[in-house]
Amino acid sequence: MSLGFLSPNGAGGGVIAASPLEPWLREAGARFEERDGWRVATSFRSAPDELQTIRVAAGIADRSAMGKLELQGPPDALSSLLTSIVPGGPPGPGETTDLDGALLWLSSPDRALAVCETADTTSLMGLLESVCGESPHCGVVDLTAGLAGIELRGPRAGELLERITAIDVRPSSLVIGAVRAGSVAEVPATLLHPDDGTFLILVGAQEAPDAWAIVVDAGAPLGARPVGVDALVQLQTRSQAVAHA
Amino acid sequence: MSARRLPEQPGELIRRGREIGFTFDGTERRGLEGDTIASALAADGQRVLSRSFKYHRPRGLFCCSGQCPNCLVDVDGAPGVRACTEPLREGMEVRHLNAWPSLEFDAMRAVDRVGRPFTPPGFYYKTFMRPRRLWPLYERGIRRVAGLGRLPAEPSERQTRADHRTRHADVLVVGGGRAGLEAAADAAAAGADVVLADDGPVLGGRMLWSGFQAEAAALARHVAELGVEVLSPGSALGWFHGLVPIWQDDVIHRVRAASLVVATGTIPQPLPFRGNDLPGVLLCDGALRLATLYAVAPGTRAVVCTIDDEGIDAAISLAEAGVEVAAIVDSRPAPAGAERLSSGVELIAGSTVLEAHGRAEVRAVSVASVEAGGIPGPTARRIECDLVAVSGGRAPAASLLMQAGARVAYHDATGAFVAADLPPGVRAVGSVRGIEAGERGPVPSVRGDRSGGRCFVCLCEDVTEKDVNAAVAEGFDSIELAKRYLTATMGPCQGRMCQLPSARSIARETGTDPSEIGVTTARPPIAAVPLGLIAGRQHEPGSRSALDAQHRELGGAMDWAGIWRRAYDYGDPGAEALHVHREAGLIDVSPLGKFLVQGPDAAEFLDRVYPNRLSTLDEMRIRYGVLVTEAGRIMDDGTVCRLDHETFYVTTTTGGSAAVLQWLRWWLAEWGMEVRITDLTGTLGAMNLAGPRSRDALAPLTEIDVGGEAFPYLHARTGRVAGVECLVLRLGFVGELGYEIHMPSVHARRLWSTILGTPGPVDVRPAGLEAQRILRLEKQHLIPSQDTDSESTPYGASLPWIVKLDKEQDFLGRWSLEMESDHPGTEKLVGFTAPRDQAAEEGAAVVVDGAPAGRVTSCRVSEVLDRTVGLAWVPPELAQDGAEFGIASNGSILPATVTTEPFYDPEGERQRA
Repeated sequence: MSLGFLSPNGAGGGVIAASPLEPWLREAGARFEERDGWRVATSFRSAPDELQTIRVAAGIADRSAMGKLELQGPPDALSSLLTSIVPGGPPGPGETTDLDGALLWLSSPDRALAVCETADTTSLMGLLESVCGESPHCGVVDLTAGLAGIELRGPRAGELLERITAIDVRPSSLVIGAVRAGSVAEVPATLLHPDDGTFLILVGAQEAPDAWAIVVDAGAPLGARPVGVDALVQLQTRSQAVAHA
Repeated sequence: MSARRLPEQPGELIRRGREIGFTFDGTERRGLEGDTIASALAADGQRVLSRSFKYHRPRGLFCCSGQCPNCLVDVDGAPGVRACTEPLREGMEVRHLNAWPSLEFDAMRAVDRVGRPFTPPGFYYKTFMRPRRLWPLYERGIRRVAGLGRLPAEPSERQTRADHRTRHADVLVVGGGRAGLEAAADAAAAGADVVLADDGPVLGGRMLWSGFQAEAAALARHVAELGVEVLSPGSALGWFHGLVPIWQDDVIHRVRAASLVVATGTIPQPLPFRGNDLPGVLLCDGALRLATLYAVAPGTRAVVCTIDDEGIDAAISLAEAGVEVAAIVDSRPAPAGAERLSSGVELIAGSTVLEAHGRAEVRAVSVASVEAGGIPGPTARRIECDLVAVSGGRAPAASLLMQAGARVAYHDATGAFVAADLPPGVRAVGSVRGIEAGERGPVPSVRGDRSGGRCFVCLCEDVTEKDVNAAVAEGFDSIELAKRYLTATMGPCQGRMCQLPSARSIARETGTDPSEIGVTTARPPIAAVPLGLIAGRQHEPGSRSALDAQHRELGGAMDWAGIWRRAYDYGDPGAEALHVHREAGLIDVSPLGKFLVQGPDAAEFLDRVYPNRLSTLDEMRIRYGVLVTEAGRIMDDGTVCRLDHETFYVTTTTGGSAAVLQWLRWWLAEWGMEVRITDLTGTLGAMNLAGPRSRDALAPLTEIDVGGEAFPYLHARTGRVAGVECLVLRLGFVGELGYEIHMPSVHARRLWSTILGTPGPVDVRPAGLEAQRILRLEKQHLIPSQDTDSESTPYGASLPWIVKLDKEQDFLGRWSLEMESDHPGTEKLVGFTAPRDQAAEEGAAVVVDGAPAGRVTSCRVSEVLDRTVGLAWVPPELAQDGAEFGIASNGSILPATVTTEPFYDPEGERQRA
């Protein structure tokens, strides 16, 4: 039985997926483009303005289009499966690990969630389905539509987080690569720290609009504002260029 | 330059030459950058800043440190602002509180002059009681004159931004004086993550006005260099099991530190003498702050009244700042520090100020000797002055320690209460430990006199020595009882200035020692804080369907349904329901709980949790299911669809989904079966396309054959609808031919718009939650928790067919249901009808033979049936067609007739079409 009706890409192309935040992003002045089967908010203001926000305060970006795939199985079977595909073995509690460019962590002993860039979702699903095929006790479910992603990036992202969660987000506690479950923006959430000055908040799609509103509201006094994904990409590209120069 | 502005003082906070304009009671005033409101007003010669709470006596600066109530003002419409700590800003509009028609002439001052018979201690228990019928009038009058300012009438004008922030730390130091700064520096130097909070605008505490300004600045720089986060001005509001909220501007920092260091120092205490509340009477610390930090002369000719060396220190400092000190009145017979005084300052030893004279401010003081036991003798002399600087010793600012669990002990040497036995993780440093013991004289025992000279114990609540004596005489002889009776220690200072004087007074009246009197319980907030700040930002997060925006665009009335915001209706729920019966309606059912249950044991697992058989379900078939507890009570219902041999798709009610998920996972863990449960509630959107023409509406949009034979009732299909891969269930909750379409929530908007917007012969219209409730009621489909309660069983709820006691598999609640099957309950859920114009309230009592015999759980007017229909729990003997009962409604009894079959399409032909 195909569970294609769970997956945004189950339609097999042609149907563009919309973020659960789309109406709210539109109200905030977002411009949209189709990228990898999704209509994503590429920008809200001018590129220099958004880059400046990320450089001096924090950008708040909708990353709901990221792929979110959940591996499930009895703890022993899941651990064994992860050992077979993750070079360093299953990540420890509160840690993420890299799986072909995706971030993967154990949300419980019998569940592991992998988050990847939108374009990589299909290939990652293929990988996970193939390994699950060899492990009859495990399965993979596409939760992309069920979870929204809000990325905070910039020097004041940590401060902003302090205003929306009681999770200890100090660099000494939430180290790069760490993951925590808890309340963020007054809703149940998973908080990831994939990179310096970058945080990803995963919340239920149904709770995402209110969570987004709370994040944006809390960020306003700090100068944090919504930014499009183009600003994130542009900044990443520039920093990579600087690193390679 | 103002006449009261002193020459430049070392360490002054003001910037000379940088003037700031503001208004006070509408008149233009000018201050300097760095001024507080109070220092600017004082420099401008304003001595009266407020009127007292009860007697409306004129009050002026007293503590100059944000502790006492004397300088509370309204700033830009916000009442309760302490002028002595609020920094001056350009354009500020400052107004006095609690006086009418003006600060200078307050009509309510009559209470002080002639109102004594009406305002004895605990007057609110004694006066304004008779005649009883006049109480509303009294109450209105009391409300008009009570309080400390008025909030703006419009809520929008009262709103200010309030943010909360959680700050984890290794060490929190509260108090930025010498001890606090050193503790913070030590911890930071050792590698700790340190937060330092101080309620002053500049770190340094008493160092700032006692000649150590440079050292204070150096220490402050040092802690900053060590990376200590400084919250200044930041007031600690309390201790909540390790969490200490710090209020700074419009942010409350919720600091969770592994270790708390309390360095809050001490609070200078007043002395009792008649007129000790007159403008011009200041604590020595207050006078020094004004003179040193803001270069404002607190007066031109001072008398210092003291019981210790602090008075002598203050006199020296005031003289150095340029204030003439007429005399020091010291209760000690031979003060040791007297030799430090210059020849121009007279020391009157073994004496005290008996009374401060003046109407609106101090003009002179009467001095008397202090006899044994602190009893003053007769007036010996009168000294002209406009400033009385008072030092009545110090009390450790130990509220935070006490809240954290420290014991309180009376310290004889300092005559104050100190914290002892600190809990783990809490440390006290500096003078808050109460170790500063020096030579102390007796605290004089001065009382009010018959001429009206009042001697105040509590400035906030206008409580006098005489009031305390009266309270003790009436039996309120403990500090806690006296507090409640007199309201002493309950005002804006929260006992800082009156706790110790109250204890001393009660001890004297009861012939005991302050150690036996003790102090009141320390409770948060330690500092007065706007309630709006505690409340924080006004968010009410909930769950929203992916179609939320569409509903709003369509004019849907959004309402809460559990944690979800749902479209209640689009203007006319009755018409919406009727349209579903006649044509086709589209209902957003995304909030339904939706779970995937997978694994080799999935079928057996479901057989164990549901009372009916699900393992026998064929693939792509659907069965209704009721979940019951171990006690056989209904907890939720929904549908179960078998997708393949090992995969089931389970739906639940909207409100029950979280509990059902927890329930399923609990039993899964208990049984250790190989089953995987995935919550898809947010992943999938769902909409119910229902109505006799729903098939015609759906067919053009899908590759699925939606014909009655190809896709029968209670079957499921997968396939594309409007290009989106969907799971389509043929269900009949609303009693008409219907297709429940489930799709990735990210495509829900597209599908909704396509179905509603596709031109064609079928007029599909949105229908809201209320229409759905009407439709399901016409079919007598119950809603768990609305039509059932914690005692409802499937037998009582007229669902006996759902329980398969002959099932081989044991299941939750079986034993209880077997018992129930043999022992019918005392009530049954039945349908009833009533005339159209006689709809009952949900929850109304069912009345049989004039006595309550049940209750109505659901009731609506059905447009299609043109009558009222409902569900009610009634005695079993009434659970038969045609039985009649009454429903209590607004004092009358409405007639109702039992109908055991669905009111609409009882054979179910329409939903199976």
